[in-house]
Amino acid sequence: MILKYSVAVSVIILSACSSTQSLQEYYVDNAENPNFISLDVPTSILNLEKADLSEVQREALRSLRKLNLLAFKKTTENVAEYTTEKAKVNSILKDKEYVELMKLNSKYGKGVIKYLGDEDAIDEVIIFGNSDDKGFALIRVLGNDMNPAHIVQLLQAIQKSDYNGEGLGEIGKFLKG
Amino acid sequence: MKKSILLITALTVSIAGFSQSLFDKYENMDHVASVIVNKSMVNLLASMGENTDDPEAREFLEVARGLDQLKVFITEDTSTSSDMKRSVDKYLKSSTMEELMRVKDDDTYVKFYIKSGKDEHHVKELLMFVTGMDNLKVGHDGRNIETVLVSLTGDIDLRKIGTLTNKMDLPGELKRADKKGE
Repeated sequence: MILKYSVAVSVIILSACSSTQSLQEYYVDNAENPNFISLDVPTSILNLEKADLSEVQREALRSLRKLNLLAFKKTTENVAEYTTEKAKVNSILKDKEYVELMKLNSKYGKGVIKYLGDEDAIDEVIIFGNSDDKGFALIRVLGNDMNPAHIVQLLQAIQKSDYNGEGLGEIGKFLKG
Repeated sequence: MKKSILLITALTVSIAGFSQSLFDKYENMDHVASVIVNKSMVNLLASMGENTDDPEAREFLEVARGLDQLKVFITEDTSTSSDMKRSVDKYLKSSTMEELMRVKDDDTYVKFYIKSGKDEHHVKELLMFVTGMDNLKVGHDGRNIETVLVSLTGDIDLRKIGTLTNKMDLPGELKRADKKGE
């Protein structure tokens, strides 16, 4: 009897999951939308392959895949879209799968930080901020089993090294056109 | 027998849910500024700072590790303030919180409530409620803060609250609980 119920429940849960849009799908769907600004930065652009890193730091670097940004710029013409799109992102993020780290609310705007995966093996960090004056921004750090302690070590190593952001300069050039 | 177990579980779940939901509504209110820090964030910070050499940071992490959740609600709105006061009263009635101390400073009332923990220095929950700050100007733009509600849950050492408030920029009033804990 219990088995029957649990099967029924899990079927419902599974079917519910598959019908909701994932954040990735949302990103892909809207990358071309004129209301959005999207940016996809792979970690390889940092050009750290030759840097002097320890094995742990190298592994941390490998676990990082890319940074993903999707921003909605609010104007007087797209108020309705802003409201629907914001609601869409919020409903995607409501999924229990996304573990909430912290949440902020002030008169300047709202923000939430969530992640996917395990505490010491994070697959995705999501930062979602919105301000009713300016619009919203969805930032995702994508990777594979990212270990926060190791990432910090990597960042410290980058700071200490003579890395002068050649890769980042490329992005700057690209943005300036 | 089975039924009664089910009933008890349902009751506990609803009570646990209820005690949370009393303040949850303030999380998304327009007149309320809020900060919510969850256990995973605490764990994340703790693991990120594992290799730090700074003794101050170490002590902070030690204290922070005991935290399950931190909530801060600040409002400037008078009607939200009174609503918040009602919620706090209701919450105090529904839970086993006891008053730790009460401070009156000019027009400002600061009240501390605790849920006792494993020993006299540790509490499971610390609630600070500040009202009547109408005449106090805070921040660069001289914001008028009316009411502040701070809730800390977890395994909290009252003697070390000062470390938390210093590092996290929490309202200084919270430090008073520190002295009381000694």
